[in-house]
Amino acid sequence: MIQKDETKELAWVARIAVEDKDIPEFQDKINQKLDYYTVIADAPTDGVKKTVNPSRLNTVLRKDVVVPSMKVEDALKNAPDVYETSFKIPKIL
Amino acid sequence: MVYENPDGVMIGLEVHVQLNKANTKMFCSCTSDYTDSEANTCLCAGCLALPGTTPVLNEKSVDYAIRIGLALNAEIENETDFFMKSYFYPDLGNGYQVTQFDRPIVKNGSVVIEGEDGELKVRITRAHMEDDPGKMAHFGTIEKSTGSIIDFNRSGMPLVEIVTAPDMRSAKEARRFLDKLRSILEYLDVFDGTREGAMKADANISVNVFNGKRIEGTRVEVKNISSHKAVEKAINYEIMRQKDYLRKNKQLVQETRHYDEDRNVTISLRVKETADDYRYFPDFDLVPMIVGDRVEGIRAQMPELPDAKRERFVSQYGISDAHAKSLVTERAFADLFESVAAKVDQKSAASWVADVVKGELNYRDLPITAIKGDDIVTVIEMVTKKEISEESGVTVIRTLLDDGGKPADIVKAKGLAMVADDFIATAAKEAIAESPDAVADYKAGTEKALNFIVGKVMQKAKGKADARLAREMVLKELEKM
Amino acid sequence: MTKDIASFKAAGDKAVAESLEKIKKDDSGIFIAACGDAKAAGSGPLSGIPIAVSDNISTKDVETTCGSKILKGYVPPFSGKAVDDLTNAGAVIVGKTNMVEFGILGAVSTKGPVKNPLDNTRKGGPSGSAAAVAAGIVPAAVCSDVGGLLRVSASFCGTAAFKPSYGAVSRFGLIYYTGSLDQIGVTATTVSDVVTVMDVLSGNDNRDTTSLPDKMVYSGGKPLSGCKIGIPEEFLEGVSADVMKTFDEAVATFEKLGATCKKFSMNTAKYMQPVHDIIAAGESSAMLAKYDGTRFGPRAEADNWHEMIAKTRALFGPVVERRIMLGIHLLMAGQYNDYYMKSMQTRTLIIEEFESVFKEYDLLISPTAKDVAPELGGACGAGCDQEFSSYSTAIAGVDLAGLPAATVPCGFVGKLPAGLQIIGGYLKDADVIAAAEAFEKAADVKSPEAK
Ligand SMILES: [Zn+2]
Repeated sequence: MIQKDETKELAWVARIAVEDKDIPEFQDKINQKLDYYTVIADAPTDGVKKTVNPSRLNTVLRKDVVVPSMKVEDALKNAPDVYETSFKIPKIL
Repeated sequence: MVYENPDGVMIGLEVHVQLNKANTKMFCSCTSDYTDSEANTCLCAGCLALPGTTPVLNEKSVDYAIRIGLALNAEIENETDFFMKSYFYPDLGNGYQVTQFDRPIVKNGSVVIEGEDGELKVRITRAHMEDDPGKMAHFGTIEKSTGSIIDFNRSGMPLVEIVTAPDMRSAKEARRFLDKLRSILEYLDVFDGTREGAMKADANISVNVFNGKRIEGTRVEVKNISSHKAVEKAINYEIMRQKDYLRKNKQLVQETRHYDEDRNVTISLRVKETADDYRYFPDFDLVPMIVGDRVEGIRAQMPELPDAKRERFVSQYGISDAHAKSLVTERAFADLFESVAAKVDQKSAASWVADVVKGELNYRDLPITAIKGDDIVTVIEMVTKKEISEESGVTVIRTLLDDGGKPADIVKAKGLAMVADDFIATAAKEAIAESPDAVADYKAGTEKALNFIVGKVMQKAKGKADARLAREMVLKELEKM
Repeated sequence: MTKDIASFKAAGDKAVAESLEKIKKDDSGIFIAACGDAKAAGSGPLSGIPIAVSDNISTKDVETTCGSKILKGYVPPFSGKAVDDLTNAGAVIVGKTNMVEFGILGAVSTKGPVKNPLDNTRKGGPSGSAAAVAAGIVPAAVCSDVGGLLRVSASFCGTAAFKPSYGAVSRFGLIYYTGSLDQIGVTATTVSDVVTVMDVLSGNDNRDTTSLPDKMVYSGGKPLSGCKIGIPEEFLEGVSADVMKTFDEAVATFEKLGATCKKFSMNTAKYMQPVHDIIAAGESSAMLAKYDGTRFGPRAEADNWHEMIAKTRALFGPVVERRIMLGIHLLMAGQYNDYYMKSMQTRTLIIEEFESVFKEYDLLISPTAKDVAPELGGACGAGCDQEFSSYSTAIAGVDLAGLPAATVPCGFVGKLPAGLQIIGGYLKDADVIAAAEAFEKAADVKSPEAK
């Protein structure tokens, strides 16, 4: 089960600004899920391989052949802010 | 001689190598050659991490990783896979990097370098495949910037990260490791080291001896050092900083630092991240890779690597180990040498290519393609036949690099053809007549005085005389006296 | 009210225009946007046919939002493979159907809930795809199916739907939140129309690693006569008495058609929903990380990038936010082995049990959802974190193992239809289709009003 401060920390790690007043509800609902997940504890998984994807394929590789790039206008057209042909963002530190 | 390592320095490197000889990126078909392109022009929706794109692995990147593994005398994992490594950073569009975790494609290898006290075997713990993020630039410095811009042309470039054990004991050894690694990678034709960002290193540094006593050092990681010269400087700075902290009894923390090349300092880079947990988990968009059956085919096509070539050059051509070592650092030089050695005396070929041509190219910062092997052969032949002096030979090489042309034309235009023997004989007589003091000194047993007289002969011949012949002539005249 | 592909074809040039007209007037939350025009119709098997796609399938130059505020204004510079396939077959994409935010069951769309065309006090399901067909606006809709986004909607609206074996349809351009569980499927008025569209969508795509090398064939499946059908008892748990009645009738219909039906127990059934939930949470924490206001989408104001993205990402609805946070928690080193690793291993057990079950049975059946469409303002009206578990264990099992599954209406509870889910072994898509078609014909389910 996660505590209140862990819930706040999780919100920051997830980079989601959750208001303080909502933290108890978030904590509660996440804990309900964690509680629900305890069902799987008794699954007999010792020595069982993991399944990452239901595909039965392996070693799907692509030939090293160039496909033309998209137009720079298309690359930038959804950008919230642009400087010349680059994406512009606020400072990072 | 044994290297004492007085400060108990331990250095491990993580070297990021861009597999930029592949035509396309790691998980999409965008070009890998974006060096001269405008920002954000060599990409697709996948490179930009727009919603709804799906990755497909480039066959070349796998084969190149295997090639690297074989060159590092390592084991190749038969079945391997990719993981997502999650963290938020502006240049990482997806919010995760695709990398490998507990089953890297390459593990347990080694590279032998010239250490402080002879051969040093640097263990390679692992080498794994991953994709490169985009590139960020800041308005102002990173610490005081008002904003940043991002170019995603680099995003998705195939990388191999090579991780060493902390086996290096000085900045010099770390640099030699990188030089050797770069040489091997270029031989493998997986990597063009001249392209920007082609090779970057993170260094883990700890000082484990203080006041002559063994201590539990603090491992500090210096990130993103882009040149080999900078690696040496950054490591030396960091060793100095750690020793200084120990001396002043200041607390060292296990942390990541950034190397500022302009100021030659390392800076602590702590962001507001409460949990340093990358949440590695398997990349569910990809399927497992079974690569074992590709290995033998790749092994059969492995090129001869620098160490093997160096040994062969010594035994096959009878050249000195120093020349062989110099010739093999770059595959192109080794090839040039072999093409020249096939046509002229092999030792002359070694000395002309390793000492003259390499030096003149480096001085001018020119690529090896700036000179033709056949022109070098012509120059060596002219010198051997005493048509020109060795000194003039060097002049011809320099002129070829600066102005181009043909060796014969340059010799003619510059009047470099060797002067006749009787001219030298006359000049020798004159020089002796003009230097009574030197003659007296020589007769009194001062060998050096002979050089003075020979020098005079060479002056009279304006350098177009064979120095050995001039010396013989002077000696002959002196004997007559 | 529903109209099949043939009747749209009969309407000729007017088909697309009429469809567009209805989408523009839609006040039932079935669509998020209208797009395309009649002139765009090409030639091919779907020539001139209006088709809807869910709003998580990228459409070039048409806003694609996944029902989320965080994608408001996002206009993809490329189309998904499914969209290209449809237009190449002559179809016109006329609208983007509504869906719960990113397809996460229990989350809320910016457009609100989908109203059920059969009863506008009820939900039309987590996506508007089946409602679009049930309302007669389009003859078929393409929608990704994870957690029943497609199948549950079809069950609630009384349409036929099919989710193929994992890999049959390229996911290129599909904005999935959990890539290992999601697969594009189709809903239409009849199984045969579903197959017509599935056929257009299927085939290898070298842009999607998981794409099957060979095109899936949906014809030539096993006939029902002599067919062995299994009914996992756990798939019936919590099913309402009314829906159970329709299911019992369906069992009788299968037996009439010469199949034998037998109940049995699946050991791994109790793990299916929690494992589905854990894997979806973990994968969504990574898949939804790209929404950071940096390269596309809205951006909140802040003077530093990390604060900016945190404020921007608060545009996710609370159910989605909790899903991401939960996923991050589960993937952290302290919890990873007990939850995520354990789930990936349990997934193997589930797949292995399905494999052994399909050695004994040709098909499995279950009710598609535990109940008929819920009321609009009901328990999950404003979004909830547990909605998925209220549907069906079988849905989770099918997603985890990447199995083919169809849903066809099997009866009515008042005005509201109930769906029957038919599940086949991996790559046994044709068997599922054959059974669904035979059942559909024999059962001839009609709404009480139509009778
Ligand atoms: Zn790309």
